[in-house]
Amino acid sequence: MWQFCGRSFVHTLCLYAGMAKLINKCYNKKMFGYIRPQVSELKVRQHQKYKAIYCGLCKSLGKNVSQFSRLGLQYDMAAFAYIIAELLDEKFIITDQVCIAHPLKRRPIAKDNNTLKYCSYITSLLTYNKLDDMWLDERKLYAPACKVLVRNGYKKSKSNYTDLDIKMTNLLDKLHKYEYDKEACIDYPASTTADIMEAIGYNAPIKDNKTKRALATLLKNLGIWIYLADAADDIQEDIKKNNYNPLITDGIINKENLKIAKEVMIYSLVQASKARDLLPLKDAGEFIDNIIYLSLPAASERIFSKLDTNEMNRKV
Amino acid sequence: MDPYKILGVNQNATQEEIKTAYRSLVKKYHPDKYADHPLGDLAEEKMQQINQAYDMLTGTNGSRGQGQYKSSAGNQTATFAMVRDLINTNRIQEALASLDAIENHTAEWYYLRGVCMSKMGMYAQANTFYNTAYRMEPNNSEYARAANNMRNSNNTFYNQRSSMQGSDCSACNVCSSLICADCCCECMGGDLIGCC
Repeated sequence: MWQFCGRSFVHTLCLYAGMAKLINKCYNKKMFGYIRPQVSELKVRQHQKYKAIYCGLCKSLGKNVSQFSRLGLQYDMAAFAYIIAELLDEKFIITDQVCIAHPLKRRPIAKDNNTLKYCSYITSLLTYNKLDDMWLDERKLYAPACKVLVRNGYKKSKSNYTDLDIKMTNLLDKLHKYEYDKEACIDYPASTTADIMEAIGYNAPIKDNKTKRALATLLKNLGIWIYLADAADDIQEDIKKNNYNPLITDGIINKENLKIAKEVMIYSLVQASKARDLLPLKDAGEFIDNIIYLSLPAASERIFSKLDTNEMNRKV
Repeated sequence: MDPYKILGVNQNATQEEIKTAYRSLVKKYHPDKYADHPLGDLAEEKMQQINQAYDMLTGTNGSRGQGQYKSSAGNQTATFAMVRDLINTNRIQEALASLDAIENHTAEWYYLRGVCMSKMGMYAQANTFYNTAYRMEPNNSEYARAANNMRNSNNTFYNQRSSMQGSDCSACNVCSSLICADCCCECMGGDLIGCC
């Protein structure tokens, strides 16, 4: 009996670890993980709060959604929680706790609140829809396998935010259509991705409509940046695999579009910073400034310099 | 409404401080900056608050015409005026529909179409439309500003960015690097700075 218990426990653990790896694989490829601050320029207190929010979000996912949904945890959502908590006038209560990934060492973790609850539902919706997208896009077999695991959590989130889920699915369908038609203009797919982010902003539990609009606009512009950064980041791989990418025409980099994308990426950050100026933020304001002015431009420089070196190597 | 809070100065701020705070806020929320931003109306509201607060604190009763910027084209037709109204009230789809109904594509048509695109987050297309408007009427200051807007604001963004990054080579850094180098040398048995 004990032996059996022990074995099934080990099996579950292996399965869990294996799936974690798979879901991570999905995430490393697509659109997630760009929105994070440049830690070296953060204040120590801000960094600690950010880490505590990240861990708190993971716990909140387990508590409000489902245990498997915790595997869809992203840095982007932690940064988002940092900002909307201040807009909701909510404080994070941070205590030292242990967690499943670090069972021995206690670390500061934020207690569950409305902000984290909202973010955990959004994470679960994004995870599921993204896995759907992966399957339709690239026919990766692990996508439906992971989908089975996060389905329960998705159903729960869907019942809470039905409108948002319908909107997300519709927008992803639209994105697919652009991919299928091989849309050459960068604006259409980029603004569709941005609309998903905008919808997330509009559904945030903020009472003041103006604040909500400003938040949605901020997210929308970050969404444009994310789409184009991701497209630029994936150019080499997409050329190899013959995938759709608005920056590629006939198997080679479309220099014209790349140049426009570069400009649009900075301009979307300019527009995001203008939206940020209309949000009543103090501490989180510094945090989002760090993301807009330091972290994201550094990320785009990294992406474009990687592209340049690859091009140079090809010529040599 | 607390004028001190709006201007971000404390209760016993001097006139000079109030003026400086006011100027930086005007720069931040100027309607020109938000001309094709979807939150243009919110910025204008904010601007009015700032102006009111400034008037309350300085006792001036200024009509500065700060928020008056709308259009500089004098001979616009009724349709374009309507489209501008629609854009200002954020009814972009309706504005686009009425633009589509116009067959004669003038410079202003291209410009307004660009504004709509920009408000929808389609910046690449917006820029193309602005450039077309500018090429058709190079003397119009509104079109010229719009056509150069992206490049100019990107440059401003880079300037702001470099001002946010701490300079990498300050006097402090030089000293600490020297001390570190000295420590390393001492570890290896040598010495870099004799006195420590």
